[in-house]
Amino acid sequence: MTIIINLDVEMAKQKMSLTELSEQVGITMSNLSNLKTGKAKAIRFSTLEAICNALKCQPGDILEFREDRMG
Amino acid sequence: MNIELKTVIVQIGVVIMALCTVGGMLVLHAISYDFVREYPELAHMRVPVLSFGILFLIFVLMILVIAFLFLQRIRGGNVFETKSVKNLQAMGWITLATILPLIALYLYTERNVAGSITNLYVIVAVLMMAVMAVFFFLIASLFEQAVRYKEENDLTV
Repeated sequence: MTIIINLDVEMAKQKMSLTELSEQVGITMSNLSNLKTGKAKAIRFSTLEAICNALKCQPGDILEFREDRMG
Repeated sequence: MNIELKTVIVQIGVVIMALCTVGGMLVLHAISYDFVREYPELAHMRVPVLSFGILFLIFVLMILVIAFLFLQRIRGGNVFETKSVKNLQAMGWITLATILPLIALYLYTERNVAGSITNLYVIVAVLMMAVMAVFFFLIASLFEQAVRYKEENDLTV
């Protein structure tokens, strides 16, 4: 996958735990964990908005595009 | 009528069909002796024809068992799984396999009693089984797609 989720970095910056974030965002811990570990296949704009709101950051701070390098 | 009740009714139907299939094997066995009594000149055909018939019914029974398990999964509410796709594919392959004893029966009867009218029914059964197999594979591929969509939906945060 070329889209990297930097959720843990932003969470560390805000000193926020997964439980706190899940409560503020209003999604389950398992969904948040899926997002954090890169298992999630898609993210809703509403979820992204809620995460940015909770972590006081921009979508670009959470999502990063990395080109796949073959070989 | 809710889905649970409908599934239970279909499951009861599958069990009845399975019992009929087992009964069919016993009836076929009994009929084979009556047939030999009626036509002693065809006595040598009894065992091979009976074997093809019973093999066909065993395959049908296998399909019914898988169908029962598939319906059980529907009742459990977790139908869109890879296991369901595998079940449907297995039913498709077994349906195709049922054609083999039918073809063997056709060829064997044609060789011994050329122009037998019963072979017409065998040809119809072969066509029916081929169509059924196509349907099973079609539904399996639809389920495969559905499983993919569900997975994507489940992993959308």
